[in-house]
Order: sequence, then structure tokens, then C-alpha cells
Amino acid sequence: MFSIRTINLFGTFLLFLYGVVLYYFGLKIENQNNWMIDRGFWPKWLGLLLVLITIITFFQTLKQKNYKIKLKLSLNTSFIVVLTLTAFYLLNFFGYALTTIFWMFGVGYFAGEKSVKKLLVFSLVVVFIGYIIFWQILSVQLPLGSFEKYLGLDFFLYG
Amino acid sequence: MIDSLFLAFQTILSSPYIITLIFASVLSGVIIGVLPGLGVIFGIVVLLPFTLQLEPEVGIVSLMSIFVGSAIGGGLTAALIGIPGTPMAVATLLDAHPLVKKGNTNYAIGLVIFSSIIGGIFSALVLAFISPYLAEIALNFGPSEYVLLITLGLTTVAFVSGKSIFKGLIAGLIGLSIATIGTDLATAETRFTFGIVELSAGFNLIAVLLGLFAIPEVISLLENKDKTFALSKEKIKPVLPNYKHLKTYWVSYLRSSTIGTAVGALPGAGADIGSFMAYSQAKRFSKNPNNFGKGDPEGVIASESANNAVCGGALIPTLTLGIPGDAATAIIVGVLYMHGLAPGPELFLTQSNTLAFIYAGLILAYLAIFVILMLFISPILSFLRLPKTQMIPTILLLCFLGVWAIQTSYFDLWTMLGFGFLSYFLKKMDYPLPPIILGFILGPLFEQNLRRAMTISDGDILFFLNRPYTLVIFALLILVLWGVYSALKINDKK
Repeated sequence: MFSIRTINLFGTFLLFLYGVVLYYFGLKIENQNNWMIDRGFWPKWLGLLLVLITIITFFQTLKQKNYKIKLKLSLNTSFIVVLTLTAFYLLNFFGYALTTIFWMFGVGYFAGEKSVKKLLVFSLVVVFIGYIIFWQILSVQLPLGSFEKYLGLDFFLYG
Repeated sequence: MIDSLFLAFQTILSSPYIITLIFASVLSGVIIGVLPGLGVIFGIVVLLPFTLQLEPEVGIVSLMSIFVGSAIGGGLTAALIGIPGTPMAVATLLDAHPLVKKGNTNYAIGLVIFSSIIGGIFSALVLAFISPYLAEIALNFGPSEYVLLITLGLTTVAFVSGKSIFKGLIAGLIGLSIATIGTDLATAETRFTFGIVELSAGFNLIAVLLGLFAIPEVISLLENKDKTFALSKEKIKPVLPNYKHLKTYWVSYLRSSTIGTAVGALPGAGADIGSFMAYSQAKRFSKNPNNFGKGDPEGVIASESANNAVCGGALIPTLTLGIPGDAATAIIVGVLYMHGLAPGPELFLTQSNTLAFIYAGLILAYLAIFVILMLFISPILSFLRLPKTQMIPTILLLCFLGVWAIQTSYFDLWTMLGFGFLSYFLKKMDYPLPPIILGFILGPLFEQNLRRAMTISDGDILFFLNRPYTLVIFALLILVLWGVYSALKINDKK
């Protein structure tokens, strides 16, 4: 549990920094073609406005009523996040079909379904429906992995 | 307009493909609207990638069908289980749920369906017949008018969409700043891309939308301990209002639909405000105001007619000026641009047939909703029994495939995840999300017009006050901001 005021102060500070960075980068943009209003004009103003408003918000937050909130993700949600990030990395190697079956199985499991049989059937069905809709109907090129090619699945699935 | 509208009806009705598509879009929208917590924006965002694969006008009609479908779906859940599927259905809950509790389920559902359709069709007709006149006026607008109009839209949305005005403004600025990334439209030079090639066209709209609106909802679903929603197994057969009912309540239908359409046309005032305004007016004019909140049919009529009328009303400034009033219409603006149709007065000159097609599609979408809900309401509601363990992975996969389908880019997948986490934390800190998307979509238009206006005026900022239209918009801006500010002050005191 975190104090809402601390989170807000920290968040406002980060946004203040973002405003400063925006202003700085806007300032650094060179006016290459001597435009009267160059491409750095707008980001500079945005950065400045952001800095001003975050300062006001910072002081407003100090007066805010304080209470505790849960910021941290639950363990299961965190596992799903890790699983998703892993799946993104594995897509290149395993491709759509294999990665998604593994990922759907994992997400379903961490979302609370414990029956392996149900999870397996569900993953296979949804991945197949996704394949039919996106590949067959919408003609979207789904990610093809090198391992899928090695197994010869590329011809079977995407041929 | 009438001729074009008839022609559009003829084209749609003679194409089984478009009719099927409208039915499918409406059905998907209703299903998403029915599921509490997901809402209209979620529905549009998740199904948006599918509509982008279609021809422009068909894709837009399909998107609008999803929009209106999910708006009605929320009312059904509010009536049946007492949880509004969408924020706009909160006022519906006040009388529709007590009606259900009294044992009048079929009548309550029939009222929700009928009122929604009346409100929706009314506003679609107003949109079709008023928009061309507004577009004619808007043809006189120059860059300075557009700068002020966008400022009006953005600030009002920022003011009304969150608990704090300043947080709303910061959210709007975040959206505007994200829009500065990519190729500058005036100079054709890149900005803030830091050598990342994928950023030269800016962030992908769909990836940003799904990240901002879908990912936090999925996380909320995950963190919610309930496995499914409690729904009785009773078979539902909606009962439509009879002649006597119409004779008694026709004024209420008309008044609420008018309020909804007018509120929808105002920037920032969403369907939730429209339905509550119509509800309070219905209570004010009612002979039995004490019955409100206890299952009065007039309460259901007021809220449902108004919140559906907002959909058509919100499209008036969106199509005529290219300036959306809320997140849902901002997405529609983004999609219009993606289809190569720049919304604004010129669209009425160059694409009047496409617009007639959109209006006709919108009206037919309401009729499709009527058919679908009269025939298949029970199977649709059974989606409420879908376990979270199946719903969550399916929604996530739909999001990932949706983003992938746009330009088959890994970078877009990472963008979506990045924006998902950003919005999760922003939501925790009570930052509203609609101003971000509005800023992101309107940013390039604002900057382009600002630079054009500044160049024309030779850098003189007072140029904004030298034209009659800008003066009117400026006065409106001050008035709206003052009004919202005083309303917030009164709220704070309460």
C-alpha cells in the first residue's frame, strides 16, 4: 500500500521533468530553413505549459486528503506481464501459432483457470480462430518464427 | 440531402455484405457494452483494427455501429444486474433496475431498447439535416478559428473529465506532446525520433489507443476477484411499449432526445452528463416526481433516449468541424484521417455521398440493434457468464492481433504495452485518459493551424481577436470555462 499523496507528488515531479525535457529539446531544435515559426516552437510552449501546470498541481497535491492505495500489481498479474514480455521476444523464434498457444495457456492459468485440459482446448480454439480471421479472412501476415520454419509448419500454416 | 440519403439507403440495403457487416458490428458492440467495466471506448478501440481492413465508408459505418451497439449494451446490464456496463448507463440504472426488481424485466428491457433506438435515430436525423448548414458556416473558418475551436474542445474535455482541472490539462498536454513526435507536417523534417526509424511517422494511433484504453481495463479485470457476473437464468423476451404508452410519454422521448443531441454537440459534455440532464428534466416535468428512482418508466426513457442521442449529437462537431468532443469521437476523427477522409467542412463539398452513406448506416445500425436485441437478447446476455479466465486472454489476443494487423510491426506491440503501463499508473493517480487521446489526435491539426495563423499575422498574437468568428469562439471559450469552473466550485462545496 502506498500513500496517494506520495505517489501523486512523485508522478507530478516526473511530469515536471518531462516538461523540462520537452522544453529543452524544443529549444535545441535548429531552424534549418529559416521558417518564421520553426518546428521547435510548439514543443517549447508545450514544455513550458507543462512545467507551469505541474508546479501548480504539486502544491495542490500537498493540500490533498491523504489515503492509501494499492499500486503494485498482484502476483498473478505480474506473471501475466512477464509472460507477455517473454512471448513478444519468442515471437521471432516460435512464430504466431506456437507462441500464442503457450501464451494463452499461461494467461488463462494465471487468470485463475487450473484445469489443464480446459486451458489446452481453449488456447487451441482461440489461436485457431485468430488464425482464420486474421490470416485467412483479413490476409494479415502473422509472425512466422524460425523454429516454425524448421518444423515445416510455415508451409502447413502460412503456405 | 434527402436524395443522397435515399440513395445511400438503397446502396446499403441492396448489399448483403454491408448489411451483414452492420449486424456483425452492432452485435460485437452490444456484447462488449453488456460486459461491465469495458465500455464504449473499449469496444471501439478493440474492434477498430477490423474496420480498418474495410473500404473507408463501410469501415466507418461499421465503427459507428460498434459505437452505438456498445452504448445500448451498457443500458441492458444496468437494468438487469444493477451494474452499468458503461458510465453513460448510470442514470438508466436508477429506474430500470428497480423495474426489474419489481418483476417487470421484459418491460424494462423493452423500454431500454425502444428508448435507445428512438434517441439514436432522432440524433442521426438531426445530424444528417443540420450538419450541412453548420459545415457551410464552417467554410468561412480560417486557421485562427480552428486554433480557438481546438482549444475550446481540449480545455473543456480536460476540465470535465477528471477530478482535478489541472490533471485534466496535464493529460491534454501529454497527448499534444506525444503528437509532436515524428515528421513535422510543415517542414517535413523529423522531430524527437532519436534515430528510431519507426518513429518517423509518429506513434501508431491504434497502438496508442489500445494501450491507453484496453490494457488498463484488462488489468482491472484481472485484479477484480469476481469470476463472473450474477445473472438470473430467466429467459428474457423484451416487451415493446404499446400505443397508450407512446401517447403518454411521447413528449418525454422528444425532450430527452433533444437534450441528448444538444449536449452531445457540446465539447466535453459526454453521454453521462446528457443522460443525467435529461433525467433531471424528466423528473422536473413529471406529474409524479417521487416515483423517480423507484422504477418509473419515464426515468428509463429519459436516460436511455438521451445517452443514445448523444452519439449522433457528438458527431455534429466531429464531422462539420473535424473537432471531436470526447474520446469516442476523437477516435472516429483519427479513423477518418486513416481512411484519407479529413473531417471538416470540405468533406461536405467533396464527399457528400460518403457522408449520406454514414448517416444511413447509422440509422440502419439502430434498426439492426432492434432486430438483434428482440431476437437474441438471451444469448447475448449469456456473455456475462463467460469466465474471466477465458475473457482476459481472448481480449488480450484480440488487442495484440489488432495492433499487429495494422502494419505488422513489433514496434507497435511494444508501443501498446508501453502506453498500457503509462495509462495504468496515470489512472491510479487520477489523471483522466480522454484528454490524452484528444490531444494526440488534435495535436497535429492544432500545431498546423497555429503556425499558419502566426505566419499570416506575422507573429501578432492579437490576430486571434481580429475576426468576428474568432471573437464569438473566444467568448464561448470563456463562457464554457467559467461555467465549468463554477459548476466544479459548487460541487466542491457540496
